[in-house]
Amino acid sequence: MAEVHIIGQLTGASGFPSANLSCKWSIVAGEEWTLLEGSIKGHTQVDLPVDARFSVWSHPIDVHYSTKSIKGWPKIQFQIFHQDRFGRNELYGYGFIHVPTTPGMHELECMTWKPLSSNSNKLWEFFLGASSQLRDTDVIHNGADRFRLVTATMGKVHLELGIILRNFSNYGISMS
Amino acid sequence: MELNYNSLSSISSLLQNPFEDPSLQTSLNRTTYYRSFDSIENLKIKAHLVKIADINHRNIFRNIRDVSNNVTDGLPYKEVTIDETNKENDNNLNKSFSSLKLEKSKSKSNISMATSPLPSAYEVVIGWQEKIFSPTEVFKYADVGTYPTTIERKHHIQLENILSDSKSIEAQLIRKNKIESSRNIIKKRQLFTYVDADNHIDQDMLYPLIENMTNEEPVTKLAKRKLTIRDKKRHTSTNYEDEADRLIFPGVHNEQPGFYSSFREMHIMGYFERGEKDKEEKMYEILARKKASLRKKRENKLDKDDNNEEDEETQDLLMSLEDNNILTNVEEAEVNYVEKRLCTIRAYENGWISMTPAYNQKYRFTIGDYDVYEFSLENCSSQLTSQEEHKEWDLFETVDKKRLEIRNYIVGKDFQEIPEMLGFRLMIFGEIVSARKFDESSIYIQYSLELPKYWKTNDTHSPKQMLFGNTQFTDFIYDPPTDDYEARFAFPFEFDLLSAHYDPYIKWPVLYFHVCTKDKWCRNVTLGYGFYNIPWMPGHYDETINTWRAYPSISERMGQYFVGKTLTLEDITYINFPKGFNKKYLNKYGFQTETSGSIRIRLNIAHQIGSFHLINPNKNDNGFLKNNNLKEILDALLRARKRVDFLRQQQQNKKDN
Repeated sequence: MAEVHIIGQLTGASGFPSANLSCKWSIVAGEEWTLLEGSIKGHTQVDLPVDARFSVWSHPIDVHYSTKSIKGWPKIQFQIFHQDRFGRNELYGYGFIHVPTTPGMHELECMTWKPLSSNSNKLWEFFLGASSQLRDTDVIHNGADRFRLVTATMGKVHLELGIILRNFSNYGISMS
Repeated sequence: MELNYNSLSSISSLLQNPFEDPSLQTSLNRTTYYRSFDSIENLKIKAHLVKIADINHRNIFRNIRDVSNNVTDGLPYKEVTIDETNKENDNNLNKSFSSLKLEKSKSKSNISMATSPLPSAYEVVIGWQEKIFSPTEVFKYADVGTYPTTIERKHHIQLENILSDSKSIEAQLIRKNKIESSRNIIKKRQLFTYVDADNHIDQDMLYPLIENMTNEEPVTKLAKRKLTIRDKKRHTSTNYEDEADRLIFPGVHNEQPGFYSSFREMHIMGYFERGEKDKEEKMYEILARKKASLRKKRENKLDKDDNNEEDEETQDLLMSLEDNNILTNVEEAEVNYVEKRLCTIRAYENGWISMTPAYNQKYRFTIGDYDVYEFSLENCSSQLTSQEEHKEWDLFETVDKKRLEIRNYIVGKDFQEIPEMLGFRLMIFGEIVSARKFDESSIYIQYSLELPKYWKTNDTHSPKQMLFGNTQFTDFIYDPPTDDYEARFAFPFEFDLLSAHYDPYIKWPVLYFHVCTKDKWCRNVTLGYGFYNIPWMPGHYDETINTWRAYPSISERMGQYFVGKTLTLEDITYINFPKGFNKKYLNKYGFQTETSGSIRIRLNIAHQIGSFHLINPNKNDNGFLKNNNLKEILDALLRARKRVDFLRQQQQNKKDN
């Protein structure tokens, strides 16, 4: 089996309507993938930036996978939450990114969106600060049901990922 | 006359920097961190405490020399008197001595001063979490009452073990049974420890930065409690409610991980006699406390029943408090002696060890008005020899090897193969990232993948692939860095394709994009077309695709405006080479388009080549070409065919007959 190291960090986020953001992330991989080391889930701190254009998290990601197949290459999915001054957490966006297959350092930006709801729900959101969320987070990294959604474009999540591959060439796989 | 360079300096400067010795410190609050891979249980600390001045020996300079004991050349030291105004420096005598001693010392040399009545140095080796009882604690734990707490019971049992040895200091103390009369014994127990279970929280560790008057509580009770909780996340009180608190983790909102992770600690404490003034103050304080508690008891009793019989007793007690014989041993000890934290050692879970203060340095402090002590620590844990170290490294190596073996076992060697032998597998992990410059408020994108000749989807490994799909319907947002509006999709697509073999000269799959919008009446309107040829090199691609759309004539535009007519291509492959195109040159002249926006996509492309069996010699179960003698197979086939023919002929002959 071949092995993949994903080492990097969630640098931060930009382009959201307001700062005070935190990010819940998880890595999703196919059935043939086995997690050897590291944690595939996490939640960053809430950052209150001085410069509201960029929230800094610098949240580490360090995962070691082994795999029997190149199918189901890992993806990272994000849920961005905004914390208001009453301490309520409101969903600000969903996003996903394919972990690059090419070894080396990658600086990536991941786009996010948030589902738009009906008008009555919008009223609810305005007063209670609780935005509608997806029932099933699989929609974030799965395109099949996406066409049913009407969404609002949100900001970007910035990542730095270093990819180390091992043994792939033994099985006739070329990545770069 | 010999004069030392510091003969004129004041006592304060002597205290700060007597020999300009950088190793001499006065602050006991400076924390130093160490890191060790070794178990903390192996820590051994040698504490060294010496009194270098008291009311009779105020000459710090001489005493320092005595303590260090390094100068053995017998040169007479210059004596410096401090509080005497008429310095008679010409004789080598110490004016601060009492007159009686002065007479004696006149006749002797200065070296005899070294054997002065200052107590000798006190040294003790302390292990990690080793409990040494202070005299106060000896009295306290010798009799713990009817309902001792867990810690009290533990200490009581430990103390009883020690007391069984009648020569021990503790046993001697108990035998004397009086603090006052056992002063000489106490001198032998100047250092003691508080272990982790004691939950001792020292004030100067808690708020070292808060300045306060000497006769004032440094912080309020509330603040103290708050600080205590934050520092140890457990507190020292023994009330029932607080006991419950200790079991339940306090609801701290922002629990700080890492540095504030749980630790175990121990304190090395000093046990010193108070100055006379301090003693008096402390006495009054304790008496006042006692009186108050008695009065409270009395009032309670008065409330409950008006029995005045017992009341008289308490009044008697109150009277007897006036002469101070009523103090218990523990209180007596509190009056006469003061405990001072000398060193705190904390061991964190992650292998950190913090020492406040650090070892290998000398610290000097004053108790009361005249007593100056010098304190130093030394690490005397057994050190690793090079042989042991070598052994340890070997052990690490074997453990590491074992770990790798287990890892290799988990990882295994099998890998998903391509169904067709000598095939070529193309994996595409892609994403529609965003779109720009479309002049509508919301858009969505249709994508489709064209599979040319010689390509097929890998249905065995990834069934139900979506070669066609729609993104969500999303709006544009202003993107300040590029000063433009952007619609963001983060829409994933994955293709698992197969081909006979890797050949960049055949036609590769093409991605088509069709950008649409929905108008007010939910009618789809085409905004643009674009395509992207899948590159034939593996790697990570971040591409921008420009799009166009058919330019409508005036009548078509009217139709678009009124009834929502939209110009859509019948065959989307027209964007690229149209389907079935095999002419000499591609002619699109006569078709009018207008430029539309752009789409950004990201692709990760990986190739898998199926012939890896032949490349990789490690693989034994080579299913393909196991008996690679093709001729043999052909011969066998021919023979079989001949036999079939022969049998047929036979049957035919039988029928004919």
